[in-house]
Amino acid sequence: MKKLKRHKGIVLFPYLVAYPVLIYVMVFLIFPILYLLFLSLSSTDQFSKVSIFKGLDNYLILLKDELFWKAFKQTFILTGIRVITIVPLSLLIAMGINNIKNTHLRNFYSMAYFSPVITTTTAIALVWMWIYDPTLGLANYILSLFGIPSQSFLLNTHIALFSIAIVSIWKDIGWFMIIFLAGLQGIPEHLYEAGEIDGINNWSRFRYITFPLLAPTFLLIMVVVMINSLREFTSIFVMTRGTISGEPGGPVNSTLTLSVSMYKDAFLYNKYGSGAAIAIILLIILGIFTIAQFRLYRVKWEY
Amino acid sequence: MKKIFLMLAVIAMCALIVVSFSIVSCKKEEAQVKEDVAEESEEEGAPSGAEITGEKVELVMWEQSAEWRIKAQQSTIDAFMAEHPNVSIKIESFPFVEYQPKINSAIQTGTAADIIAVVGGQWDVPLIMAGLVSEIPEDVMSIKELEEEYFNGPANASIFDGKVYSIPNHVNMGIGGLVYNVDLLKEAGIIKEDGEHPKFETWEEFIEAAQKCTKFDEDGTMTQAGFSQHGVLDFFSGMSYVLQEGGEVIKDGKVAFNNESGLAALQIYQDIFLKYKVDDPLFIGGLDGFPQGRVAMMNIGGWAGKAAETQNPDLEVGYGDQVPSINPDYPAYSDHDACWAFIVPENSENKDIIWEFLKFYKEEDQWVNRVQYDGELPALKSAAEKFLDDDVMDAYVKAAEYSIYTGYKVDREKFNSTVTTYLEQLARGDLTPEQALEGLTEDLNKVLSGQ
Repeated sequence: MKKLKRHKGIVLFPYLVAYPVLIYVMVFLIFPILYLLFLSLSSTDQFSKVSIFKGLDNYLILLKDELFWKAFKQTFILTGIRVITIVPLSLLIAMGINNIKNTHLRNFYSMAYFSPVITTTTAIALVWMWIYDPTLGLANYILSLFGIPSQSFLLNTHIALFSIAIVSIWKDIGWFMIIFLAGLQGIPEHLYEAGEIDGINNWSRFRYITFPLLAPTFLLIMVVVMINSLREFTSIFVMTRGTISGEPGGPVNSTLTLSVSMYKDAFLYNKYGSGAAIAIILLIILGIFTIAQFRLYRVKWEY
Repeated sequence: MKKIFLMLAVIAMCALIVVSFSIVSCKKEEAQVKEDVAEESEEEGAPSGAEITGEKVELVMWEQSAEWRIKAQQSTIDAFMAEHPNVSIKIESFPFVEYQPKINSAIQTGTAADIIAVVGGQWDVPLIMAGLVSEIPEDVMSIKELEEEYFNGPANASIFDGKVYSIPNHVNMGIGGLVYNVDLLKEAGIIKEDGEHPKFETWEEFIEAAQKCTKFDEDGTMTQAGFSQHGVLDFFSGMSYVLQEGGEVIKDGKVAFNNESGLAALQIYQDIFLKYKVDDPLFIGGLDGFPQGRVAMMNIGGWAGKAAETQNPDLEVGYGDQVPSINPDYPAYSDHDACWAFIVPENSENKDIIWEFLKFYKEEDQWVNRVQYDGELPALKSAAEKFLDDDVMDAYVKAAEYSIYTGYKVDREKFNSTVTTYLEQLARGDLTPEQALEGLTEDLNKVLSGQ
C-alpha cells in the first residue's frame, strides 16, 4: 500500500507542476493569438467593439499598400544587418575574452560588453540621439577628425535605418557574447590539446573543433537575433518619431518596420484589423524562419 | 488517472476564460448602470445632491502633458475652487503620443475623467458618433453664442451635426504669427533695438530676412536656419498655404486642393528648402531646434514660444506680426483643423458641477487670465481683443479671423501623417509638386473615405 501511495505521488507531481503553466500558456498566449487572428479577419469598430467578419480583406489591402511593402523591405534589411554583424562580432569578442587568462580582467570585459544589455533601451536611444546630433553630436565630431562632412544620421533617409541598426547592435551584442562565451567554455579542453598534438593551426582549430561544437549555440543565437530584429521597436520609436505628431517611422518612413507599422495602425489610426493582420504576418515569418533554421542545423549536430 | 487530470485541466482553463469574460461584462454593466443613473438624474431635473448638501465633490480633468497648458487650466481651477469650496478638481496629464489611445480606451470602459481636453473637431468626432460624449447644454454654450462671439476656427470645431459638443480652449495657431529668436535677428541686423519687432510687408521680404539669418559651415551644411518649420506641424504649413492661394482643403468629404491653388502651395513649400534654402530637411530645426537657438524664425502660435522659453529660460523669444501671405491676393489664412477643447463623457457623474465649471471657464476674465501662462489666443473674441497692441498677442488677434476650420479629417493622425510624408519628400526634392499633388490627392481621399 505504501509503495502504491508513493508511486501515485511520483506520478501526480509532474502534472501538478505542468498544468498550471499549461493553463497560463493557453489563456495568456494561445487565446490572445487566436483573438488576434480573429481581429485580422474582421473590421472592428474602435468604440462599440462590434466586429464584422471581412475574410482576407485586411490582408489584401495590406498587400496592395506600398507602405506595407516598404516596411517589409526595411524590416528585412534591418534583420540582415543585425544578423551578419551580431553573430560574427559577438563570437569574435567571446573568443577574445575566452583567451584572457586573468579572471578579473575577463570578468571586467564581460561586464563592459554586457552593460548595454541591462540598460533600458529608451535611455540608450536618448543618449544615441545626442551622439547622432548633426551639429553637436559626438559621432560627427569623430567624423570631422577624419575630414568627413557632418551627417544627419536620423534625418537622412539613406542612413537613418543603418543608424538605428548600429544602436540596436551595440545594445544586444553583449548578450550574445555571453552566450557564445558559455558555449566556448563548454568545449572540452582535451579536444584542443589533441589538435595541438596533431599540429593544427588556429583556423583549423576553429573550423574543426570550435565551430562544430558551437553549432547548437549558433542556431540559438541566429534564431534569437532574427526574432529580436523582426520585433525591433523601442529604438525606432524613440529615435525617429516626430516632435509633435509623435509618429514613429523616421523621415519619409525610412525607418518604418513591420512592428512600427503594426503599432501605428492599431494604436494611432485605430485600425485593429490592419494592425492584427501585420502581427499575424510577422508571426508567420518568425515561424518560418525558426523552423527553417532548426532544420538547417539539425543535420550538423550529429557527428 | 491521466484522463481525470486532463479533464481537470480543461475544466480549469474553461473556468478561467469564463471568469475573464465575466469580469469584462461586469465592467460594462457597471458603466451602463452609471449611465442609467446619470440619465435618470437628468430626466428628473433634480439638482445634484452635492450642490444642495454642499458635500465634497471631486472631479478629474485630463490634459496633455504640456506644462504651459496645465498651468493655465490650474489657474482657472483654483479660481473656481475658491468660489466653490466643496469642489475639488484635479488635473491628470499624459504625453501627447499616448493621449488619444488613452482617451479612446478609457471613455469606452467608463474610466475616463469628468472633463477631458481633446483635439476638438477631430478626436472627439468619432466619440460623438459613438454616443460617448455629452451634448453641451444650451445654457452653457449655444450655437448662436459660438457663431457670434467666438472665432470661426474654434467655433466650427465645437459643433457637430448641428449640436455643440465641446468648449474650445483657444484658437489653434498652428501658424499665424512670427515667433523669433531675438539674438539671432539682432545679429543679422533684422532688428536693431530692444523691443523692436521685425516688420514684413510681403512674403518676399520675409524670405529675404530669413536668408540673412541662415548660416552654413564650410562644407555647406546648414548650422542655423532662417525660417524652419519642418518636422513640426508641416501639415499646418502646407494646408495653410493652400488656403493662402485661395483654395480649400476638404470639401464634401474629399480633397479640394487638387488644382492650381494646391500646386502653387506645394511649390512654395518646396522653394523654402530648395530655392530659398532657409531650411533644410537634414537640419534639426522647427520645435526641436528653436529652443536650442538654431532657428531664427518660425511662423507658428505663441504657445511654441512659451514652450521654447520653458525648455530654455535663457532664450530670448520675440513675438512678431503675422507672416505675410504667400499670395498677396489673399489674406494670411491658417489651417485651423482642430483646437484643444473640453468634452464631457456621456457617463460622467456630477454633471451639474461640470457645467458650472465650464460656464466659469468661458467667462471673459478667465480667458484673459490664462493667456499669461499658455500664450494661447482666447477663442472668445472679446477676450482676444483685449490683447490688441500687446507685444506678443497683437499679431495673433489679427490673424485669428483668418483661422479657418478645414473640416473633419476622419482620421486626423493618418491625414496629417500622409501630408507630412509628401511634404518631406518635396523638401528633399524627391518629388515634384505635380507628383506630390497627385499622390496626396489619391492617398488623402482614401483616408477621408475611411480606408
